[in-house]
Amino acid sequence: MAHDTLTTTFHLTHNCNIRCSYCFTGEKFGAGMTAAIADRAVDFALGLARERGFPRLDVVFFGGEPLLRRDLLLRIADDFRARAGGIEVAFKTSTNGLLLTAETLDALVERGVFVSLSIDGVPEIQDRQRPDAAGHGTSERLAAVVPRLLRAIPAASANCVVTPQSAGRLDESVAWLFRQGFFYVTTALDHGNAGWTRESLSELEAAYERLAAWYEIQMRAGRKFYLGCIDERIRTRTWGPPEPAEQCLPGVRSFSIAPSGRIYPCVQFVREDESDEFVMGDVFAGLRAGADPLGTCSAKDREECGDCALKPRCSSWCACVNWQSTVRLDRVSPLVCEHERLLFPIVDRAANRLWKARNAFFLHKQYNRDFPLVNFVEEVVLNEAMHGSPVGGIR
Amino acid sequence: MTPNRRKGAEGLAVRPVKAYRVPKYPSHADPNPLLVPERVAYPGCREVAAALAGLGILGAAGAASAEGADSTGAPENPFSAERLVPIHVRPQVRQNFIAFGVGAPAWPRKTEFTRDEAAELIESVFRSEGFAARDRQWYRADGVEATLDGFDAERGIGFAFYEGETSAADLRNMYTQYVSDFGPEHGASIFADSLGLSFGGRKEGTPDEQAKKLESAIDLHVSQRQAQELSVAEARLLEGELAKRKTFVMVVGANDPRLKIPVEDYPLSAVEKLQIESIPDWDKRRELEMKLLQAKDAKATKVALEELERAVRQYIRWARSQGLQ
Repeated sequence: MAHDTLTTTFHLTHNCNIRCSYCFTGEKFGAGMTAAIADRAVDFALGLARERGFPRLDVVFFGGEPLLRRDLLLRIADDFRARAGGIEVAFKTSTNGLLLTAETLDALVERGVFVSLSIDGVPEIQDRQRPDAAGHGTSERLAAVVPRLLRAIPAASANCVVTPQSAGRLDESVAWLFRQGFFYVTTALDHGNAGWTRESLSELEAAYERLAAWYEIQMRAGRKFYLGCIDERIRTRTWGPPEPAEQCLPGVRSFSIAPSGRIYPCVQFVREDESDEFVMGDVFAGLRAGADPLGTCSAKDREECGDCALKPRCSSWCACVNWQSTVRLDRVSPLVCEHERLLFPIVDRAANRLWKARNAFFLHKQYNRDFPLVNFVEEVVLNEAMHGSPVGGIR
Repeated sequence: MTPNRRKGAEGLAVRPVKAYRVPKYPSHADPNPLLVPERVAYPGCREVAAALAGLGILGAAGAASAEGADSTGAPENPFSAERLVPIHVRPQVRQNFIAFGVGAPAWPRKTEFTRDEAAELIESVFRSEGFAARDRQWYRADGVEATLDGFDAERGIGFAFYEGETSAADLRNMYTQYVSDFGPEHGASIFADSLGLSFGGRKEGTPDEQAKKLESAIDLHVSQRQAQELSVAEARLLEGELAKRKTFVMVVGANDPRLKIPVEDYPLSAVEKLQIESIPDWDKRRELEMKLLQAKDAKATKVALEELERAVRQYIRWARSQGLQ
């Protein structure tokens, strides 16, 4: 996250058309944010950016399922464009994809809304972890959506949640996602799941070993892609550990606005919007004086980490993830710790091998700060201009 | 308010990692491997790379070809002073101990060339290209005073090494680090040894007196630093000023990867290890091990020398393209 960017997440609704087994956003209900609240939320976000001197504003549409409120989403985007003044506004939505019709995609593309698709990989896992409200699988419906999405937004990313039940097939799921045409894939652990055990982590470790081998093969074949769980960990060495100023700083540089207009420091805390515990204010009255942001909490040195050799590179700084896992903001998630300890050696071994081979793609990906832009332009813009279609994914 | 599932996963724990093997791939603090020792071509298709370069978004590292030529086809300077990375503490000779069998260090493998070895090779290349690379020469002009390791004044080409520059602040930081790592007495002793100085023993005197001794030792060391050693700033100044007079000095940094010997690329094979371990007699076992490793080291050294020679010849080609007579 760029340090000159303010991020505001609009929770357009609590409702959702699917029922993920691991959803952290609470009960599904209600019609969601009204137009009047949305107007005030736009005022709040732009006002805060101006007041705090942020030249850039990232607006994220979130839910529930934000596309249940498609018209409101488009209206908010138009409002931002009309009222941004000198502030550079970028849009992103996180969606389950079921409502991504051709018409909706056109409207999103027209407004420059980047789409991150939540999809858990191979159909069997997708159907098990992400059924619809009636309990039916969603993979078949998504099969029609994905090609449409990637035609409209070739750089759309796929986000895959890993649960104890799907851990052993992570490599399979990631490879499957790339085969569908994605070339930006991120993975996230189901942090709130009490079902993680040593056995499921061992399965995950074995899957990561296979995934690292797959990653290495793709790199050696000169295929360009981004895989968050590996690339980000390599970057903690090649780009250096993220400075506190680069972290999301909830309540300082990032806010979530609930459908009611109440303001929270992070998406993790909105849930049903019933508790006052983390509320920092609302879009009508603004931020409360003395509202306690979590930013400093995220930056804190964790006592239980001691002199851990991985501390500078580890992701245990995120207070919100720690809260989701331990119900404490100031306590490191044991799951995060176990996960980082098993993943870093696998990642570093793969990177060592690619370094030893002086793999040109590895070198550019990890040491050329322009690479993400260059890769994007090459894959999406220039390939389309030169060959008539963007080249995406790994087949 | 509590999250969905209130308890953390059972049986999992936060456990600090006491030791972690440092990865071999360069970190953000190392020289950028896209630039050193040679630029690495962007691995895209040629048309795309050319188009990106035209748009000016490929970055300094992006568009260079694998042969080290710029967009006009002219050779690039493989020892540009812009590539020098400041070294604030004189580097120590690193040795890579290979352990196997019972785990005893077997053979200290030489992992980099000394300055003299590198100078010998560079001189031989210069001579073969028709230049008289004489012994060290004092150079004083353009705001730079330095000893060049070799210089043909008539033709205007030479070379020098950059081994580091150490300020008083660097030394104080170094001292603090040693004391923090090894404790006040042992740390101070190691620090003094590493400077080749003694500042009177940390046990004697009050803390104030000890601090004064440390400061005076640091002052002495800084004042005694050989003024003729180039700094990065001087190397860059020198390169810019000399180029105006069609004179060229190739500056080789002590951290230049071309001074490294890639012994890790020549490890003992599994068969060789078995062969060694099957020998019951310890001395004979060691003898075979050393023989095998010496052969591998010789191969690694040959490869490294060829690489360095290639780079020096490329420098001369570049200098000629810039007007060297």
